[in-house]
Parts: sequence; C-alpha cells; structure tokens
Amino acid sequence: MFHRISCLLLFLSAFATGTFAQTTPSSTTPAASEQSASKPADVIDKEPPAELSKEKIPAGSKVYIAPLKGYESFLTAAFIKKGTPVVVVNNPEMADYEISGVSESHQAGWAKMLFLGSEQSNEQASVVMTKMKTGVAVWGYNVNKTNSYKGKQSSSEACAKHLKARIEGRE
Amino acid sequence: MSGKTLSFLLLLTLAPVSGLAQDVAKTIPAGSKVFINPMKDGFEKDLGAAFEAKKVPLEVVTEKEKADFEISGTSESKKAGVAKILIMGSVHSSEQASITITNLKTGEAVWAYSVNKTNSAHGKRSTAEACAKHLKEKIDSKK
Repeated sequence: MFHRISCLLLFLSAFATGTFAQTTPSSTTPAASEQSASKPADVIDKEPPAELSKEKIPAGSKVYIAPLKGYESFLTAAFIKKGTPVVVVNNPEMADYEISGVSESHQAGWAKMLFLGSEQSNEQASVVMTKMKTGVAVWGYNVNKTNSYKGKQSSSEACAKHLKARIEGRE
Repeated sequence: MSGKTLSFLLLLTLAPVSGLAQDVAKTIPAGSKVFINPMKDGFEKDLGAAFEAKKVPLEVVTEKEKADFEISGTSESKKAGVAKILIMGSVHSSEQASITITNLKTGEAVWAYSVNKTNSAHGKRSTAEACAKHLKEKIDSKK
C-alpha cells in the first residue's frame, strides 16, 4: 500500500515538473515579444513614404526620361499629345524630375487571332517619377492593356493622361 | 509719372515678350538644320527619305554640331506570320514608330509623334511618311 502511494506521488511530482518545464518558456514569450516589438519601434518612427508621394508636382517642371528601350520616345510624344504640363529635357542635370520604368509588349499569337479574332498586342508598362533633389518617388503608374488598340502608343498615352491628372490635382 | 505707374507699364510691356519667348522656344522654324540620330533597324534612313518625299522644310545634316535640332526615336516592325496571313487574310506588316525633336540649344523636346499601323501598306516607309507629314504640319503652323 505504502509502495503504491509513494509511486503515485512520484508520478504526480514528475508530471508537475514536466508541465512546469513546458509552461516556463511560454510564460517568457510575451516578455521576449515585448522586447522584439520595442526594437523596430525606433525604426518605424518615421514619416510613411505614402505621405511623401502626395507632394505637389508643379506645372512646367523639367522632366528627364531615362532610356527605356525606345519607350521614352513614345512617352514624350504622349506628353505632347495629351498636353501634360511638363517640359521634357534631354539632360538629367537640367531636370527637376526623372522618369524611369519598364515596358513589355506581346504580339497576338495564332490562337488569339483564331479564337478571339484579334491581332492587337498585349501591352504593359510601369513608370516612376522621382524628384532629382530628394530622390523621393512622387508619382508612379502601371498600365496593362490586353488588346492595345495602338500598341505602345496606347499605354504611353495612359501614363501621360494620369500624370496630367496628378499635376492638375485631380488624382 | 509715379514709380508705381512706370513699374506697371514695364510689367505690361515685358509680360507678352516673355510669353513670346516661350512660344519661340517651342517652334521649329522652316529651314532649320536637323540631325537624325541612328535608330533601330536604320529607321533614320526611312525618315530622311520621307522628309524628301513629303517636302518637309528642314535641312538634314550629318554632323550634330552643325544642327539646330536633333531627332531621336525608335521603330518596331513585325512581319505578318502564317496565322495573320491565313486567319486575318493580311500580308502587311505591323509597324510602330516614335520620334522626338529636341532643340539642341535649350535641350528641350519641342515636338514628338507616335504612329502605329496594324497593316502597313509600305512597311517602315508608311510610318516614316506619317511622321514627316505631321512634322510638316507642325512647321507650317508656326506654333
């Protein structure tokens, strides 16, 4: 009888010790998470970039368009056609802003022609406008046209239209 | 006459002049010398020929130092594939081109034009002549 009781007590003490050993690290987790949370608080204590991008772009600003495999020429033409109030310059040192980006074009394949009866290309482009003095991106735009009526011309004119709206404060 | 009146009259005289100066910077005078930068697939040659065909009042020079304006741009050409010929019934190529004219003194783009032809009857010649036609209109408008 005594032997059984001692075995039971030994088992209970061993169980209690095991449970305590498992619960101890979890009890320290909130403290550790508090410590880890306190570290990035110093880093985050800055103005978010989204606020900076709302900076006004003055009409008549000088803009340099970085080489985009020929797309820069389409963008310039689009700015002129859409009456975007910027002056395009060929030297980055003369510019207040710089536009960089990327454009992709996919011609219609046989399946698109056969099943959809469309020979228009897929176009996508993305442009970012950066202020030269501060290096802050003040405007950016992505465009994707599945059936681009006028190829690169359509996507570049979409960019120009939205930049015009941004400068005029409509976006 | 008071100083304020004199200043006001001076301002009235100078305001249209500065506006005129901005307009002049954007014009392309007839007879200007232009240098055409080398472009993809030799589009500069098509452009030079189109200027002749459309009688664009510009003088094309081969040295950039002698030029008042420079033309840069790009051109893309896609020949009709088997699918286009069989399904769409067209043997014409797809062409797109874009040119920009920059004033070499100011470094500002004064005119630019893009053209896209899905079924170009004469390939690059058609897009080059479209650019030349619109450039001639720009020069003739004197704006």
